[in-house]
Amino acid sequence: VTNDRLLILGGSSDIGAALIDRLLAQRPELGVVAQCLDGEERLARFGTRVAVERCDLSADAEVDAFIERYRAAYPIPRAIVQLAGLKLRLERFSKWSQEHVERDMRVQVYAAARVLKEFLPSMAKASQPTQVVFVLSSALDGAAPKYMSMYSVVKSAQLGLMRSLASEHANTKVAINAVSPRMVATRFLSELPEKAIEMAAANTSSGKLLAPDDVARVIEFLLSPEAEHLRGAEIAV
Amino acid sequence: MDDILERLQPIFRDVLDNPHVVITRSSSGLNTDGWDSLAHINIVTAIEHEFSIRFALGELNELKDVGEMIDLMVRKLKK
Repeated sequence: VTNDRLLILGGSSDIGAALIDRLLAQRPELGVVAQCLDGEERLARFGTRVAVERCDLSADAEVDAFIERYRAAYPIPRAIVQLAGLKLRLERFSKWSQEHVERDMRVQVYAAARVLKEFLPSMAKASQPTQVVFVLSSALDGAAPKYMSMYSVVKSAQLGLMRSLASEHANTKVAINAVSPRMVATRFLSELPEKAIEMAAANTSSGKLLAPDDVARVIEFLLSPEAEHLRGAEIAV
Repeated sequence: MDDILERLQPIFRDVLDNPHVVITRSSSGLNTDGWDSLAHINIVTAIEHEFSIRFALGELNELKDVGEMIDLMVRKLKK
């Protein structure tokens, strides 16, 4: 078992798969633990270098069991990437659903915090540099987009967590940063009206949405030695 | 055209979440409760599905009311 271990929360996402594709090709010793709720079949092509751990991050007991399984089976992660989240919805504030926000908070913020609380102390004292990368959103950049109050609240909480942890760990081995992409063409958008996606693409300079690999390559940079001195950065893509 | 207007009624009632709304050719976001930009996106998407047509974004920007939308739909359905 290699010590070069990456833990991805939301590993079966399109960005997760694109990231795994990139990293496995370049780091021959790397092993990946991919947490997912579903979509394990999308990870089958990676073979034994990717261990799939099924876990509902919205359930505390499942998160605890996942952490226990991880501790028993794998080395302390060299890096943790947080990609998990509920699918994006466009809703007026009048349709605000506290239940939805709470579930997304459990997935994107509380579960990430529990996992990080478990592993950060060891990652901070590791002999080599370690990294944590959050995938946030361009929704946090400037004026908030309409009809995304639930999503923006959750992502803002995640940004606060990232920045706080980065400050607390500024003088340690662990670099904690984030990438904030604009809309990416993934299954994460499957609950949006097609026209909204078309409009979002039309409002970009390229006329199209980002591809998962466009985000994966920035995450790859944040996991690389070149980004060693970045702390609490939020890179817009 | 009346036939199209009739087929649009359930789409608007569903998207605007108002079973009593009655759309006319002069209906628009300015005079119809709940027809905001999100509703507009959902209405257009629903119409595209219902009528198997596609609107270009540029075409949508020029529409002032339901009447103009119906006229555009008629032109698309004839093609």
